[in-house]
Amino acid sequence: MKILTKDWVIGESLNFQDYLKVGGYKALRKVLKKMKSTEVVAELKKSKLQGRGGAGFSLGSKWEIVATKKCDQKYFICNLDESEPGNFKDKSLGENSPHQILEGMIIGAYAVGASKAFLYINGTFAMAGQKIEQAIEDCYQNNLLGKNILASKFDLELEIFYGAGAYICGEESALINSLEGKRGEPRLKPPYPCDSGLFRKPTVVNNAETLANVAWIIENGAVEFAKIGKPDSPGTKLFSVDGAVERPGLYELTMDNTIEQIIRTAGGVKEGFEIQFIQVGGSSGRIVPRFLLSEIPSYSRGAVIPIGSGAILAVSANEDLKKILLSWINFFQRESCGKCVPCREGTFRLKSIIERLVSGDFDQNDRQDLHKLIWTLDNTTFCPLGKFSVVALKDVIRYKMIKEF
Amino acid sequence: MEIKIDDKTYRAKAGQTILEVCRENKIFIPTLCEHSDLGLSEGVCRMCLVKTNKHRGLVTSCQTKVEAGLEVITEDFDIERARRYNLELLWADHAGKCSFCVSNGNCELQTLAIKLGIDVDDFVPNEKDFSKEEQLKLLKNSLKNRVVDDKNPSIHRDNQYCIECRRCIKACQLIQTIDSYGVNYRNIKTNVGTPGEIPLDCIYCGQCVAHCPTAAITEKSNIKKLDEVLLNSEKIKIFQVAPSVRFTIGEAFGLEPGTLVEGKIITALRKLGADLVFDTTFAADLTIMEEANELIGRIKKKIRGEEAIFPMFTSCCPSWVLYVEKYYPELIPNLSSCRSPQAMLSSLIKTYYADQKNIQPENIVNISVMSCTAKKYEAQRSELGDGKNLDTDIVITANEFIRMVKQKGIDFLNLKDGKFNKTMGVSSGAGVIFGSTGGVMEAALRTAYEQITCDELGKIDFEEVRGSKGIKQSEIIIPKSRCSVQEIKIKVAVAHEIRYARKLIEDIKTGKCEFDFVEIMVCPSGCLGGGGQPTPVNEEIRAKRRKAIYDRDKGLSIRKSHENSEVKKIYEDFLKEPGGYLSEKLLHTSYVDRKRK
Repeated sequence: MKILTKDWVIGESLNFQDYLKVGGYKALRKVLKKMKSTEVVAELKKSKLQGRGGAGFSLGSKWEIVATKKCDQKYFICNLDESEPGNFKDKSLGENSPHQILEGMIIGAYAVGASKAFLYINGTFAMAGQKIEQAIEDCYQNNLLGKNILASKFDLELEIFYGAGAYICGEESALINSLEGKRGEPRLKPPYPCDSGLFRKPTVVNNAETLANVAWIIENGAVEFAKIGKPDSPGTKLFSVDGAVERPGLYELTMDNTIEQIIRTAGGVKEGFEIQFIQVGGSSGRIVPRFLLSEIPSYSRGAVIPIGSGAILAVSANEDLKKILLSWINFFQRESCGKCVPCREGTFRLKSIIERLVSGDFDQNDRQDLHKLIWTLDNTTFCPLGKFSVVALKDVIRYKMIKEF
Repeated sequence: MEIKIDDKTYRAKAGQTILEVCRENKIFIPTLCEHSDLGLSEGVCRMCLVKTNKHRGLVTSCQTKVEAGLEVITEDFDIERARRYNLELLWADHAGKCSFCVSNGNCELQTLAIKLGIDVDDFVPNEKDFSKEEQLKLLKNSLKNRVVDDKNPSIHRDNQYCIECRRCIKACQLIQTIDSYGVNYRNIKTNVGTPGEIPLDCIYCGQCVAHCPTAAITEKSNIKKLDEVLLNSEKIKIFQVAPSVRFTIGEAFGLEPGTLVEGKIITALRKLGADLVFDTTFAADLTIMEEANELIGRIKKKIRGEEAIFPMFTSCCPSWVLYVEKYYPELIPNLSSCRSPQAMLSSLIKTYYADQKNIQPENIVNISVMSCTAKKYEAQRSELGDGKNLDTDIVITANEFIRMVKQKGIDFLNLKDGKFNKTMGVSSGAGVIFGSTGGVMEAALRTAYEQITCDELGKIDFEEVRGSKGIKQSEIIIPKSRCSVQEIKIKVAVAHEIRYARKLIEDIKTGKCEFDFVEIMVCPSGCLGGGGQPTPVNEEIRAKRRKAIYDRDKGLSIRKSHENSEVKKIYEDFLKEPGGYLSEKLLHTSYVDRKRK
């Protein structure tokens, strides 16, 4: 069962004509001609579609909050920042099928009553950016954007915005700061963007993959969508599979597959290699040891393996875990925005401890400090980045994967 | 509403943060980045974390608003370690720098470290385990991003002491709307500084200094220069003391804010090596004579139907003058041409006093003890000199004075009260209130009223221009009298902090309001909240200082500048009349358009 990638052709990008041929913008026509905005919101809410960025918040609920706000200006933002290491799903979406994202955005903007939309893209995605720019132009030329879209009296201006590629700008409030031309730092929540977002106006921020699902749901109905995958975590998911597997790449699977099945889809474990562990969800993702490979990663509350952004990294037994730890913490230290003390200073101290671990100078003091730092990052940072930076590390300790700890 | 803190019930107002309620009720919560002057905190330092029944995990009390039914816990194991670990992290980057730091003993980070018992260099490997090269590498690492900015005359920045609390950013942005500071880089390299680390180019008000919890931003110290001068027996060292600092310096020695320590300052200065100590307040009276005269002149012109420029702005605040020159040069004609009291006194010392005592002006060193960092800048203005030498030679702030007293081991609290030297040491209550916002206005009105009407002013207190409100307005009616043939209405406004001054200027420019005379002070509450005053400072402390200043005025027998005996004498003997030839030459100045083109 495929929703997002069913029409993709490897090595080619669906241009405007291709997209129309496979039924593109039919959903948008249906929405603008036959549906009230409240009906669109209700339909999406019924589908139980969850945010694919990692948090898994219900898209319908988010839209509902903004749709019910009475305000002269609302904004709709698509988050295509995707800076989580090991992820390439949103980037691939932008490269292969930009119209799918745009259609979701236009429907969303209509549903919540936004007249201005931004597609925030990681500035390092040159190819995806190029394709999306072309797609936006095609939309304007074919009256799918601009004034009075498809004679429905609905106006929408949509703009692409290139971020500089900072990890933190994938966090919605930092993304909004960046869009406003400010330093990419998270804002205090509440107020959430739904209440006070871009330029202090109600704002929806949705992940690109989430939005790519919207057209299919409108066309085929929420009931059909809810049947796919698991009841509390419906639909399909793009998995960026990488590491010691036969065919690394992007795979779309329903959300009821175990990690083992996902690995098998990617050709199974690479010949001659043995799995040390799987990491699900990028550098900030949980570690799945071999005995948990039959778990189903999902957005369900209390899931043993939260699916996160859907990156699957198969780490072979040949890899030095200490060096992997260092690469993780290196990433989080580099990407810390520097706002709050625990993240700015804590990731730095953690990095030097892991450096000593790699060089063999790790001592009892370091061990004590390590646990202090993990607790501090886990509990006292301003935004979730601090928490993210120790998720995997906590699992390493939990599964006793490094004897020094 | 009622909320519970640590199982006790307290009253709280909607919109208050948990921290505010705790402060009101004397419940201690450590803070570093929060400051009550600077609005809602950014929650950067994580010192004020608490637990509540309405939130998961730890929340910052400086950002969390109270709500009905809220129950707060301010102390438990997790809260304690959250604070401790984060402070240890800051300390790891900071320890070992205290011994050569100017804020040693008056540093919020240090105070908190002592309070929480942070005494180990945690997170940093023990140095004795390192080889020399490794130590050097560590040292270089921590100094890699160091920025030192001492290119301006007033403010010194050294970011090795910076804890990235961002108070300076907010002070500059919120209070002064100048926006000199921001954040550079990210991760461990994060620096608070100017954009691209260009040298500071602002109005030097020093509110960043007043709000910095450590020594990352301090006044540019003149102590070394002064020490050298004090050792030079060939020079005559003449000190002057600003009106406001005598109400604040006591705080550094444990006295209540607002305690008058005038006599002790004079004695301390003599102990430090002063030959003479004059009172800037005397020059404040002189300023009023000149400024009131200028105002009356403009009003008379208007009455005669001649062209006169209104409103007239005061010019005693050097930051304000610089602000006009840099941002609103078109308003330069509106500025009073009067020099500030510091500049007036310095020029008179090197002319009138030098003449009288037969001293070569080159042998005099004028040193002023000011509330202000911008006075250091003002002293360097080339207009304020005889063309060769500057009138004011060295400016130190109240903080530098305190540091010197402590360094020299002077037992300040037990000093006998000294007296200012005669000739330029007598002052009136009008001069004293120069230290507070609205003071210059009130002093000027007292004199202008009597000089226009030739009658004695009945009610001497102009309450409507007092207080901490950002913009104060009033209309003063000067009745018909034997000296004035018609009733005159003077519309006045008083503003402090640039945010309010800017609003006032915009309102005046767009014609929303009209004024004859406007007083502007750049620092919160005027000089008593100046950038060179002792820290910590907040509205509560400023209110006490303000009260003390007005109480002092009330207690004095001479409360009008034109009744100051020494002011009268200097006009009789030397200056002849306000606005006369000598006055223009020695007490007035000119301004320069400094707008970036």
